[in-house]
Amino acid sequence: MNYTTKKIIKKIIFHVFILAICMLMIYPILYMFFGSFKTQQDIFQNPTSLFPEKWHFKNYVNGWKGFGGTTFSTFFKNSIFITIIAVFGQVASSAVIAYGFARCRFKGKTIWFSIMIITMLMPQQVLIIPQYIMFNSFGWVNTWLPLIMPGFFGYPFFIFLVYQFIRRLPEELDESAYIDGCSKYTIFFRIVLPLIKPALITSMIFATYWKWDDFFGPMIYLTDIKKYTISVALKMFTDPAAQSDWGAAYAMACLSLAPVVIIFFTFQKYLVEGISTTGLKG
Amino acid sequence: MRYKRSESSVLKNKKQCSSSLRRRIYNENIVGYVFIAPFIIGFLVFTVYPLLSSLYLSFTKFSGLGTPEWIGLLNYKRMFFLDPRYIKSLKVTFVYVFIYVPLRLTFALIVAMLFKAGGRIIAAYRTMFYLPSVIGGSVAVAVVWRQLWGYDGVINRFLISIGLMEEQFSFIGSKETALMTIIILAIWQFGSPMLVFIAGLKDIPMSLYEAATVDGANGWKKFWKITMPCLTPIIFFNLVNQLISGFMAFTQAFIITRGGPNDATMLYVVYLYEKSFTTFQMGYGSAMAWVLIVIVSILTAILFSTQNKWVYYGNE
Amino acid sequence: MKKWISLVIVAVMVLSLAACGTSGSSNQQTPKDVDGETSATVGSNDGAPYDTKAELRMIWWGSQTRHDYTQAAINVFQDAYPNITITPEFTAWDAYWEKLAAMSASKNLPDILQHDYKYITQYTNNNLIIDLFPYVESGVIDLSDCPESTWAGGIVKDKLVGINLGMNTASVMIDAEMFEKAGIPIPEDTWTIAEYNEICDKLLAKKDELGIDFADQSGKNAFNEQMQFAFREKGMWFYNQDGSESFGWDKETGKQIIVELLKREKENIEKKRTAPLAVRDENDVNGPESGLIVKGKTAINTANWSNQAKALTNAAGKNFVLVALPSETTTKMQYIKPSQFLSVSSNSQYPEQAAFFISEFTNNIDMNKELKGERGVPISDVVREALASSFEEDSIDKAVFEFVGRMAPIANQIWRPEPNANGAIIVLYHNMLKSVVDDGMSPEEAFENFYAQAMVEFEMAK
Repeated sequence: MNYTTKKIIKKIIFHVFILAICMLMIYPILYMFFGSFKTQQDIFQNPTSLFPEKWHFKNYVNGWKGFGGTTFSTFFKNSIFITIIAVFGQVASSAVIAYGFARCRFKGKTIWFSIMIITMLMPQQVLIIPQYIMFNSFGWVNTWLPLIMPGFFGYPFFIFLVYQFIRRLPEELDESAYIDGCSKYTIFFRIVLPLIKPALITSMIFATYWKWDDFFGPMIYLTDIKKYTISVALKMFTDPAAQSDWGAAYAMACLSLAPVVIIFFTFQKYLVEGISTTGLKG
Repeated sequence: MRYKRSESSVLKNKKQCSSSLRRRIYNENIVGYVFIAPFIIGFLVFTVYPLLSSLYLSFTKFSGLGTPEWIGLLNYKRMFFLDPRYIKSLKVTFVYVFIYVPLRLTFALIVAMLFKAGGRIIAAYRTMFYLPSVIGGSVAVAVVWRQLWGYDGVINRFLISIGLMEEQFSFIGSKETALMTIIILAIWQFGSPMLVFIAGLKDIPMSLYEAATVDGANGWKKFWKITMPCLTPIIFFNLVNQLISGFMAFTQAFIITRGGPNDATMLYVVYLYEKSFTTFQMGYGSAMAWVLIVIVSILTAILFSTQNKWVYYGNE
Repeated sequence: MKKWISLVIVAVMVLSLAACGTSGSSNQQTPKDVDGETSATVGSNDGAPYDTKAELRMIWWGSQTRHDYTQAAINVFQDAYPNITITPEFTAWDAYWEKLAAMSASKNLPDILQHDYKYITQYTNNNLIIDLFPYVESGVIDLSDCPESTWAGGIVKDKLVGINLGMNTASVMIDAEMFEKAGIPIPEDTWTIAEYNEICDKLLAKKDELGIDFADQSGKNAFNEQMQFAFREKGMWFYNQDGSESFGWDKETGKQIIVELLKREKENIEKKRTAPLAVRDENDVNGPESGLIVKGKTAINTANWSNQAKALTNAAGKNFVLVALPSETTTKMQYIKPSQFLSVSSNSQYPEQAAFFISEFTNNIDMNKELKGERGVPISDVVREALASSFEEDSIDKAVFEFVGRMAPIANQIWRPEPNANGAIIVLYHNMLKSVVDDGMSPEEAFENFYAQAMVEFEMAK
């Protein structure tokens, strides 16, 4: 066997192996996808078979018609609007704050940083009531503001993420720019920001998915069905004590996955393009 | 490892003045506060009140509906001296965290290394490995997970058909195996640390690898001498973050087992939720939340203190 | 490291100091007493309630079917009484109670709330929902077609705090085809536990022929019901009926009854009459439709609620026969449970109009034709008859109506809403059952553990 055939065989084994694992990884998603074409009886009587007995497309029609006259087009529009604005706010503000923590020396920095970490440690479940009281006093209940506004003041997870990426950059970068007469602000916008693009894109992908998937916030603060998001609407198909339309629930869950997957697929290439080829040239 | 030293030959001649320079650059109290101002404002406006009121509630008896009644430290005393289920949930949570964090990070790193390159096929693989993470706590994942691991599930049938098991067995409903299925679910959704690793890998300069190749280093050596050290800030981030999210884990255990069977999957936050909302002990739940904050703060502080031993930043 | 910890400590201390400063203000959001407000509006004789222009908010949980049906019923109401507008705020069951708790902390509750038996005492004790008796007396709420036993479940501390939306009772579902195949007649409602055991054994004798794994699925709820029944058969209640956080029995008597019950359960599981506990746990979380009876793996399914029969039937694609739960003697311990309530919140501006809406919801036949009995069997005799005649002959709806109709006259009084510790006590007695069946602990020892822990839970819930 010569070198190239060995290499090819190795490659084939690698791909077969990876494909097998891929199947394991996406099995539940396939299950949900094919489940969306099953009838209610098919779902429960043949729970272990992946494919529908007979293809049944009505779940999509039943699901899309929504609840009491409000269709899924409303929920999609709402979710898209909220997600775009909130993601922009979270990522932009977090980058600014992270730079402050990573590259400025000021009194009280450690205290503020510790406070930021502590805010990540609070279980949301015990904050529901106080937060509602607060937003109610702002007059924000039944608006999208409680879902959008807090993000504009930084999101600890992203602050910490971007902070770590900035700290990996050589400080000489800042120093040389400073000597060239740049202010801190220009350094941030002109030099640091382009270099932390991977961190920003990562944050953006996470933020999109988390906002899109967030159930608790919209569930608690929104009361008008015309303002509901996808995540809330999806839960409204099923009720543990009554009859639930599982086929419709699967169908809409599949549709709601699409935007998140598209975002991931589109933006991941910015993450990997040039890995190990360009890199950072001090 | 300090790669930028070799990179920044331009800056080398400026080194001598750098200490006085640094003082001038970084002694900028105002600039610092301008940058972190959004966080401070947001903290004061949105976070302080809910945080403090939950702290206050932890010293009260509060059903979640009526008026809180001050009872001092009683909630905290109950937790440690009166409530065996609390102690059990603490144990379950520690087991969960110490199995889940290392496994999840290892998987994420391996997959990130495998799929760091460009190319369409690899991009498709990457997306497939990330997909489980975006279906999060949806209805479907809970149902599917139960149908995989349940009494009549796919895994059961498979194990019986290859003769590894004789009788049908419910992995989810048995207290010996229930926590394992929850941990597997959490590991299966390793997409977020993977993505962070991929982003981190991108930043490592190619020239370092080129230099190492010239020196005759093989792939393994390159991994340990270049990739790993350059990646330490990212590993550190993932470690801290997974530790926190491990202690906060709620959704998986809640949607699949509700803490059962026999409290075998009663994670800390699931128990806190049960106390706060199904037995109307919001005060007790708040006290549990604050104990959790203290525990995780201490563990996080320990992690931060080990940083200068193994994490390499760009300022050294 | 040290520095970091000390900073954390300082930060926590600063926060806690500040907390003392604000503690006064967090007291303020909790609703103050609202007694007296409501009685003033009752009996104001300025015309019928629907003459006043009113905007009402109404909240409920449910699935797609319920949302569509309820919305249609609201439309019927609004067409008939154009002065009153109802803004629906319907949601999913998940986080419904969290949402309501948050709303009540800000006195922002909708006028009309769909309520549950489990939560109604708490809401009454905190004066969040109002007494509807004054409206019944003034005729705004008409209960003349509803026998008292159907709505008495909504009385808490002598106040009528919710009107029952549907009657529900625990049932045994039977796969009639399988019984026929095995040559076993369908049991009467009066069957006893001995007869139940005998039927299970007969079914198991033909296990392979029928393709079943167990005779009875038996749900988690079955054990809850048996626990209640075991005490009621001895003339006791499981929980103390004075509303305190305690049991309705002394330790020695309780020990006898519970140990007996545990032995019986263990025997049933060992003989495969009922499914293993792990399978029941799974089924409890998965929802009724995933039950073994749907897949034809059992012939009996004990203790589903009667309003779940439809979901099971649709999933299985065949009708089941409903019979009463077996008991020690032929006397039944069965009771009628309110499926849900409609209540009026104490911060409502228009309690009279809200009460009027609830009355129509209960009595209006056109509205109920839209609601289709989805919330349980309606409490009004007139409505029930009107609906029953609209169902098809062999439909499961009809079977459920008939079953509940059979049970209602022989039903016992329902217990008072459970104490706060109930949620935890249920977990504890299921744990007790598990240690006996799966871990081989002696029933006596398991009971002692259970009792000690239950006392702690009561203490904490006080």
